[in-house]
Amino acid sequence: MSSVRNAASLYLPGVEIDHQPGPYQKPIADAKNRAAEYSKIWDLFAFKNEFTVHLARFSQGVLRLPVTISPGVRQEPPGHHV
Amino acid sequence: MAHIALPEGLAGITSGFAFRPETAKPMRELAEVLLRGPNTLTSGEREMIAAFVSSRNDCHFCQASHSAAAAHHLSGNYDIVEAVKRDYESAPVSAKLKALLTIAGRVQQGGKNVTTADVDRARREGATDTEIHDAVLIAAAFCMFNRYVDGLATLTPTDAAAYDQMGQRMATQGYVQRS
Repeated sequence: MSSVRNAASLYLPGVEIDHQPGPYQKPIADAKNRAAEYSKIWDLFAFKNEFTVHLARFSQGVLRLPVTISPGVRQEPPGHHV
Repeated sequence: MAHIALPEGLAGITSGFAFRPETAKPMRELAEVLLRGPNTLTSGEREMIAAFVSSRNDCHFCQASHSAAAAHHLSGNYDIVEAVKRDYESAPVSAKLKALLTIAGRVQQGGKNVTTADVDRARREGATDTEIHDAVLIAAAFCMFNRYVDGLATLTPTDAAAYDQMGQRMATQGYVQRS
């Protein structure tokens, strides 16, 4: 049984079906071939690679580049701090 | 005064960019592709969405600079941009842009506020899924830019002429620093 919550369809079917070549195209195809669910944000990332590449670099810079705050703390959702 | 020791003499987001070049580069490149890359929405329309969202977020630096950029894309016509920020439904812009501004306004309040009725209206007015997608992403990105600028209490000029010059540079030279 999948532990993934059912993901609703996007309200933009033109976005949902148009997966451009890039890092998300194959994982989406693999998930579909296995009839497995996948995070719908992958559809957004696969839609316009010219946008996604900058979002990915930004996330990498904010979350992974060496700073005095560890990557683990940077990934921790707000409210999880005690 | 900024909350942290940002480089002196730089205004708004440029001070954050100078402080943290590692994150500045992808943010500049994202702004470039969102606002100036090939698109069926004009740069003027996309800059108006950016200015509108920034205005709703009460980010003076972003709304003033992107209003100026939009105006420079529209042959210096500030009246349209001001009308959009004041009441876009009565502004002299296309019905499609009004529908996209409605969606952008919903995103500014929270992503889940976008309704199927909003999307249906945009489609009826001729917006493609790509244009709706891009309007949502511009609105979302500017919510982030706005909070970045104001969250650090960056220097915010009050002189309208300074923003006009900024907007002219943004419209003609773009957002990516050329070395």
